[in-house]
Amino acid sequence: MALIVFSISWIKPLSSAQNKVILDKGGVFLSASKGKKGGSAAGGSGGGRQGNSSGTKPPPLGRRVTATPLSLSLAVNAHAIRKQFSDSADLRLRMTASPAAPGIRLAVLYLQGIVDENNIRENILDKLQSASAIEVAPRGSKAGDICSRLRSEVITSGLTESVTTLERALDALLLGCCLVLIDGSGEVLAAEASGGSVRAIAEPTSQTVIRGPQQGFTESLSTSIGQIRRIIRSEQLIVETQRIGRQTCTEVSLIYMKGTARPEMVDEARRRLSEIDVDGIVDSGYIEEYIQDKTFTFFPTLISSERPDQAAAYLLEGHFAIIVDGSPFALLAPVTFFRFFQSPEDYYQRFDIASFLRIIRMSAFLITLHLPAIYIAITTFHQEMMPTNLLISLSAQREGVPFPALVEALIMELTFEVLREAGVRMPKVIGPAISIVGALVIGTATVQAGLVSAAMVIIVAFTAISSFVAPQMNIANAARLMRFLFMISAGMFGFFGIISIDLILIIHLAGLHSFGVPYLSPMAPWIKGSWRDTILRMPRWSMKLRPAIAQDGNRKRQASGQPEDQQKVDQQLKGQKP
Amino acid sequence: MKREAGLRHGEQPGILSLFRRKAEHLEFLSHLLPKSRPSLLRRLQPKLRPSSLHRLPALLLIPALLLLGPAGCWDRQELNELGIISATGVDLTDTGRWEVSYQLVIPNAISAQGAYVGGSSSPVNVFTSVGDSFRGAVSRTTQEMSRRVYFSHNQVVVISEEAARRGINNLMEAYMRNGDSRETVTVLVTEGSARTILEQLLPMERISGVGINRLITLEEKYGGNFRQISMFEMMQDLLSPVHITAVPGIGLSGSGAAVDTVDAAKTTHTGAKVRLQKVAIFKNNKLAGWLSTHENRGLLWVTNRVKGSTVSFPCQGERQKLNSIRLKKQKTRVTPVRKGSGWLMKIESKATGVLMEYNCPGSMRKPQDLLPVEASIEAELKRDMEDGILAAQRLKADAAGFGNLLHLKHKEEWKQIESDWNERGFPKVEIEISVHVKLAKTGRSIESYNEAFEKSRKKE
Repeated sequence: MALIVFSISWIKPLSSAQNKVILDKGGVFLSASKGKKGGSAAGGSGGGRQGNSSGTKPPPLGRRVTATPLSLSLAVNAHAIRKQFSDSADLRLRMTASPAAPGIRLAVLYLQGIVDENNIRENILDKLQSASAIEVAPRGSKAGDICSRLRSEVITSGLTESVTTLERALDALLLGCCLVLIDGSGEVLAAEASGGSVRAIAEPTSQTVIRGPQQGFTESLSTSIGQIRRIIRSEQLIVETQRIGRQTCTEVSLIYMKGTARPEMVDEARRRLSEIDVDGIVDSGYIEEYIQDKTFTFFPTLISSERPDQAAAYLLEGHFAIIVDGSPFALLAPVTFFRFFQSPEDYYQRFDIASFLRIIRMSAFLITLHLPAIYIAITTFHQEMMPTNLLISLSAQREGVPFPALVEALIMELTFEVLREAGVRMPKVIGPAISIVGALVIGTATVQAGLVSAAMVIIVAFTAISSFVAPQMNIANAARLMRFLFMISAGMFGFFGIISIDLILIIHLAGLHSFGVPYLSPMAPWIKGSWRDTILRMPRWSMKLRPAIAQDGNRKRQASGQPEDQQKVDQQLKGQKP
Repeated sequence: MKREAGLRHGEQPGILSLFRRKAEHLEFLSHLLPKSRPSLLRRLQPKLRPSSLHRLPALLLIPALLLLGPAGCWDRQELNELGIISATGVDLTDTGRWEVSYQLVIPNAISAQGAYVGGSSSPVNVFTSVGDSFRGAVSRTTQEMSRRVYFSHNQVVVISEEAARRGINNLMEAYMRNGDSRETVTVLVTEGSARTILEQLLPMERISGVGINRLITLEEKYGGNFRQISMFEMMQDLLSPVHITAVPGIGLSGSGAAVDTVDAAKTTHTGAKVRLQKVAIFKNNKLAGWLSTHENRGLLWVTNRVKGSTVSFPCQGERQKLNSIRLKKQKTRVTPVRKGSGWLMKIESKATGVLMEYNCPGSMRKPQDLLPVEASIEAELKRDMEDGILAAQRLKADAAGFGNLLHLKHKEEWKQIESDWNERGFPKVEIEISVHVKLAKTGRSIESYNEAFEKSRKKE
């Protein structure tokens, strides 16, 4: 019986009046339930957006504007559903009968691929066929009663609901339910049976660490949420799930720590998510583009992470995460510029090496941006700034190169970008070919042919390697694009041009926000104490407070720092010594 | 259609909207901002999706505009359009015009692996242009050079004696006014033709201009006989109250043929080689005369400009300088004192050094044993200084800079004697020298080898 109570909480039985109202707005199946603590229904569904957030915008599932009552005839109902699906090949119908409902024809209907067929067999078909008539159907019972009896006493699926309209039946099918059609009843039984094969948990491919957890998110939303929940076993971890996309009905979960994340910030995230109205969400990249603060910028304002440990750490600091079903990349926000140079591994190894690596990463970012531009500026405008011997050496290399330094640099940089893109897109089997072409043809042959100078190849190579240092690929991509701006500007105005673009860039960065958080904080504006985890990573005992984005009054994250503890230990040791 | 979409989202069309801020602070973040800047606090505007596609043309325009630049970069100069000059020579023609020689670096001949020896082409090329003015001559290089002459990496300027006697004020003016000719370039004077010096190849050095510059830097640091002087320092000296400067001389020494071809450099010895020799004293922008190396060192002691030097000194009561000391710290203080109608310069000098070679008999075990050694070094230094000052007095050029001291310390009297200081005042100056040398270390051994040898013989 507990199971049934639970199932009620899953899809709240609606009075007909309520039903009607919400049906008119559409999407009743999806929007009705108010499972705020949707994490408890981690079985894959449940939860949903809050009822008050809909407003004037069009319904998220616009196609369901009608409410057609189901017929009493099984054949009519089955035919109607099949007609709606235009006899789609993956719609499976199986006729059956049950001793529990003697003389009544039953049919099981589901969409192959999104349901777990074993589950259906065990919990529905087997149970139907082996139920005894006496216990279920007392004499003289009507077909309508049979539905609720089947639901409460025969079918053992986790979550069940009785559906009375064709539209809700379709929705249930699409969400991975198995429908049990009962002849002579105006109700259809929807039993939760979603499943299907998913990828197993594997190592993250884009964010590898040497030390630290080695598992990454997968495409399955429930698995991903479970991975976070395994790390943060607290009832304060809130998962709010809603479906976005008129056609795809993609589950999107907003995850945050209650009491740590600012409610206003979470409200803002919720509002931005709820305003998305599009036919489909295929990846979290879609969501990112809709909810980011500024579109026309090179800089990302959300982190996309493949790592549950990183997501959990961000949640603990008062950020929120958005996970999209079907995408192994969780979105973490709000973030600042400096976050993009922090690897999860920074927190798993010693603070000194972590700080050093952060400085290396930032330097590499600056090198990626500036190095080709500096080369162009020095060789075409500021030759006096080089040591004499270097000048002569470069001059000898440039001798006979037919292009200006800017064109030379653009040729090489574009060549590299082409090679890189080819390397990403090429089938792995012919991967080695690209290295040969890249190393030999581009590297050696162009220099020997006198098309570019050897120094230019070194510059491009170092720039390229530097661009791979950033732990977040999207900030490296920003540098990839801006590099060309810097190069062109340096080719026009020398160092003056480089500095100009730098200034524009800094002004631009200072004006960016991520969910209201200034992008350059805690440096600009300066937030006292937050430097401890920005460019450097101070020892853990000194990072007593969460970042300033965490809720006021709940910023302290550890009891006491090391120095006091150390003093106590010292005193004890002294006392014990003779 | 696009515009409608834009308006629906509360945006204004137009390029200017590109620069309008869209997302702003949430109020709850107010604590992140300094209290004194409340204007930065704004509410986050409703913002949903990038409907403003009408901005795209404006964005595409920016790179298009940027591309206009490379086509017309006015002061761009590619590396392979430059003729890098490593040394400049200043001569005078028979008709009294400036004859400027340039040592042009040929990068291809240099950057090939290895030194210049074995290379098939010369690493430098020397050519000359003539003009009434210094920069006028430089501007004529375009008549025979396919590339723009580039002076920023010029290492040395060699001035011939002839040109120096005529006066170097034109050169100073040209160097001070032009940004591309650096006033930090080293200046040297040669007795012969400046062009000849530029034509020489130095062993170990691919570019002889760079080599000559290294030569004088090294000499100043370890030899202590010459002082490297830049165009800028020369100007400072000549504009000082005494208007005197000392410029190291350079010349060819040795009897053999000059090394001015790559083939000549292929032997293990060089016939005539470039050598620092003598010091040219400039008075009022003109060469006044030469001092010997030894005399110049005395003057450098007085003017406190020795960075490090090795001094040879005799044993007590002997003349032959068998011993050497390496002086490291040296400090000289000159105090002008009125004496009758003239001036007495009290020169107090302190130096510390390490013994490098000692061939005299006697023990050195006790500190007082060192006193006579120190005394003979002191005497040697004193003689150096006296010789230097005497030589300068002979030239009637205050290369010791006594006039500058008077200008600082006795301003009123200086005004009266300023006009004929070099001619009449300076030659009559009397000097009183006291030197104090401290022998900091005697090196790894204590007594001299000779002493030890004598002792071991006596034991037998």
